[in-house]
Amino acid sequence: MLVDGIGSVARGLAARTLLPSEICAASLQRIKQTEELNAYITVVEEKARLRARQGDKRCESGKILPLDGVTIAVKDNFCTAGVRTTCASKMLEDFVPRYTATVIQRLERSGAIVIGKTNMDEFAMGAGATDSRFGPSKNPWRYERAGESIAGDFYITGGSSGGSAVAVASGTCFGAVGSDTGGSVRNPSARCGVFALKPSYGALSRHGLIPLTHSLDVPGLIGLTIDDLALMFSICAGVDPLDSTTIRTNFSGLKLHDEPALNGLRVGIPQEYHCPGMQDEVIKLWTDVADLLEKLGCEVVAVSLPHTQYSLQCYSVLNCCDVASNLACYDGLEFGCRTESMESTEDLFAETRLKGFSDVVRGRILSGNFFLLKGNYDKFFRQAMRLRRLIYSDFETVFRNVDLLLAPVTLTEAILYSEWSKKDNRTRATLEDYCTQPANLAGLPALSLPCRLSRNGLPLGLQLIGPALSEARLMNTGKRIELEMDFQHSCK
Amino acid sequence: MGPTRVPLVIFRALSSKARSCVPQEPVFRKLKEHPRVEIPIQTVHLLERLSLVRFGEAEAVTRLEEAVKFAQAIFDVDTSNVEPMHTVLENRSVPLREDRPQRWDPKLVLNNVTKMEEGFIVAPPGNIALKEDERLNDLRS
Repeated sequence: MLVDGIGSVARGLAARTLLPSEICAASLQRIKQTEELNAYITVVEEKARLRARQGDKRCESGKILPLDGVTIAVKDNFCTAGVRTTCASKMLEDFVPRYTATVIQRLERSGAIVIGKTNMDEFAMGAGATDSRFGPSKNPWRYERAGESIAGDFYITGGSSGGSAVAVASGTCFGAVGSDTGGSVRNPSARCGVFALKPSYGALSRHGLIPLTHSLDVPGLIGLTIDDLALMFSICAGVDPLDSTTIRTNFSGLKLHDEPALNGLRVGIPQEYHCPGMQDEVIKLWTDVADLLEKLGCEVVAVSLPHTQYSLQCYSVLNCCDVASNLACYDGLEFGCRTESMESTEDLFAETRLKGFSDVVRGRILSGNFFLLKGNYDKFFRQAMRLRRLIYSDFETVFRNVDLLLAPVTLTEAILYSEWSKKDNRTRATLEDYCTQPANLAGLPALSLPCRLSRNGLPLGLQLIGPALSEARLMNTGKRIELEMDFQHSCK
Repeated sequence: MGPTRVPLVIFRALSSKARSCVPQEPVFRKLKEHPRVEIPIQTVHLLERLSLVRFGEAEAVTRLEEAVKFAQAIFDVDTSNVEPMHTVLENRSVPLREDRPQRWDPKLVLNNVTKMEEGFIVAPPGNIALKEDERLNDLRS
């Protein structure tokens, strides 16, 4: 029931063969069945059942909302009133916000039922959903067979929104909200075999999303079909007075074509996205889909984004500088973890932050303050911002000649946890975010599509990247690829 | 939970134009090798004070040095005459909301405070600078 997409829910409710409370119960049951995957940090059972019953009443009175009966999971860095929001950190382990993030509020207002808060890398710093206070999330694909050589081993989910991708891939809900600063919804979705949209910067409100890097963060959506992404996106998009970086868009009522025609579409293949370490099967898939698009009437051309290979270094500076400032509010006084120290205020802060943050988080704060030192500010911070403009301009130039770009998402299929944990957080990020990070620096929308299984039986995906606010074309094109590739979801 | 069906997609083996657009070898220039960075102990102490975060262990300083070494690749790009980019919305007007007071129940706002007395948040004495972590001096020497 939970694997056919939102369309099937709407039909079931309209035909009165299904009630929101039944769907909610099925979701909660599925969460229990798949508990081992560690997708959720907090399950909000009571509240979900209550909201589902309100949905039942609407269905009985014939006033069905577009997302009635649709269970969704929310990454644990979005504030939810009355429900603890941890960022997968000890620092916020007991933090209960008093307000709800705008995107979540808009989904709920349309009937969606939030069933839980999902696991992630602490403060979204990571690409595996393995660096969490609550332990790693596990990929549902090949789960039973992953531990063949090392008992208890598993394939990583990708990250940082790994819990959200698993929640959808394992059939516990119809859609999920994540956040994407360097690839954090696209990466785990590609590895868990679900669809994800990283919208244009400013299309979705960040109010209530605990910030990582203000000028790069966007809420992202994860779903079982691109139609579902389009529906959730059209509901969430638009100006929010509580986020001054939201922009006017025209996505309300966005509906994709039944079988989108791609005649005459110009698709660019960014050459620099083939970087060292890319799996041959990813290249093969990329090549095959380029062929497919040509067969469907697209004009496929090679394009160059020459500054691509500096994107991660640029990001490492911008991210750490923002982190140093964004995480300054966690001092143990107003909220969050607090140590016993009463020696001095500064000592309390330092002790609290030593105890509350992992070494990855502390490392980024310290690096950020290093890059921001008086003598380093121009050398590192401003240079990174200049480089950002060059990366942005690369895209501007290619989009004069092509409508969309087709590129890999991750360099490889999902990796075994035993392999993954041999490398440190930063080294992993330099491999993992290579193909996803540039779209964040340029504020562009990107769509991650699972396409086929590898020889190992793990999902492989590609992404489409478009100019700012080209979500409609992006998703229509993606939908045609979805129809042609006919990727079979794991839970069907 | 495991997959039940492997989708089979068969493509005609044609050497089409699109096929030749996807590079079959990595397109990557080797980055310049930058020297190791050594962060002096005074800077380590300064960063702890500025960050109000403890390195905690000598390895954390090494990790910072590695992060800085990694970031130095940005020096290799000529950015003369390029203006720094703060945000992609630089050419749009982003209106601020009106600064109007909202009513909140103070109890709700203070709900997450650990230590309170008579409606005030309790903090230890201020104006005392963070003590230097002397262990780091030994570890670094």
